[in-house]
Amino acid sequence: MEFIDYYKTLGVAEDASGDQIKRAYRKLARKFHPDVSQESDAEARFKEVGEAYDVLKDPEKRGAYDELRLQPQAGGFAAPPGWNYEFHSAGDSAAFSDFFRTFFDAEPGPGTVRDDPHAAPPRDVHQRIAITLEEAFHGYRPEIETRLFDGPGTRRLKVSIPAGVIDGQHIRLRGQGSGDGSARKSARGDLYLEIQIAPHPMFSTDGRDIYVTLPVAPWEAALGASVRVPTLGGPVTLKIPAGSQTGQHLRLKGRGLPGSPPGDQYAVLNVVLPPADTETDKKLYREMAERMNFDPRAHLEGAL
Amino acid sequence: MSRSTTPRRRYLTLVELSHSVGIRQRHLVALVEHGLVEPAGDNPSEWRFDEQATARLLRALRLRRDLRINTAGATLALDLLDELARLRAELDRLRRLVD
Repeated sequence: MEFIDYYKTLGVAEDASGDQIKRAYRKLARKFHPDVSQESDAEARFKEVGEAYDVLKDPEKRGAYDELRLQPQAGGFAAPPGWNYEFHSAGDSAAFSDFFRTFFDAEPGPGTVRDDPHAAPPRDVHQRIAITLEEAFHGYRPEIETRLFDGPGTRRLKVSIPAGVIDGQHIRLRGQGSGDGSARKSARGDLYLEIQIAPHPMFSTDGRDIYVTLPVAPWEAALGASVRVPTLGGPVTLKIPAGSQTGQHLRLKGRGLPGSPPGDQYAVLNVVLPPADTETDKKLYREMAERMNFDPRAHLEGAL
Repeated sequence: MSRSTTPRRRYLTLVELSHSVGIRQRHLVALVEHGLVEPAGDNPSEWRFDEQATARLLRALRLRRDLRINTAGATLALDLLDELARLRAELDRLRRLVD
């Protein structure tokens, strides 16, 4: 077992006052709160910080922890002889480290049997699942691992994610939460899966709407053209009106994520200039410069 | 196109939503009065919450509990986070346009 340096976790000195510890905790809790933070390991960091604060805020636990720190730590960490502190922690200690559960938590650990299996009420379980945009579009039946609150370890479960889920949506799976200790499904809470749609290399999303950047040649934008556009349901043909410009949104109705109503796809035009590498290309550009009456800075005239 | 066979109902009632996030109906009514979630429909028995309401409520309840802020503070934080997410998505789209 690893010894955990709670002072380091909170970034405070060993002789920090209770107020300093509280301030450090609150600052880190805001920073790493999974509902706020963009950090990829926010959830883990938030739990670490919460665990450190749970110990250091309580003078009795902190004193016991400071004693533990004095133990030799070579080759793993074990309880010193005579360790018999019994602490009860509020909240979900199952999320805490082995170190914490061994020294600061009197809750039964994994593998132990509760005296009264009916003590735990059915509970809803909330869990996040990351899926690809294609999976959101077509629907998806993954096998997920869900933690048991009422027993040791985890459980594997086949779930069905319907076509057309959107980022942040919750899917409710009735009776798949944690149970009250009995095998009855009706005595179980529900499992909520929060959908997270992973970034896609080509498409971005806004609810059910899909955006794709569509590069076009200057003559396609100027004269109009029919071009092929990728959509989640496969390529479609899109008519670009004459006189289009970069940044213009062209709507493909109903080509977004399925639903009632389904989302739309937007092709965002990006006019790309052909390079003038060869003499022929340069000649064409020179000809345009001479023969087209075009001043891209006309609107800046007063300032130039 | 869609592989789901049964059309899914895309809203929740007051009873369903309060059950799903594990709070009393009276508490949920108070949160609606704060503007944390905005159902369609005039009175509580007719309220219809959209599919984002569960996620928003759960986030607010976690923020309140974990960061010791009140409902108004959590509502403000969520509004700002939504705005931030919208701006990040917009920035992402614009970056793709430039690259």
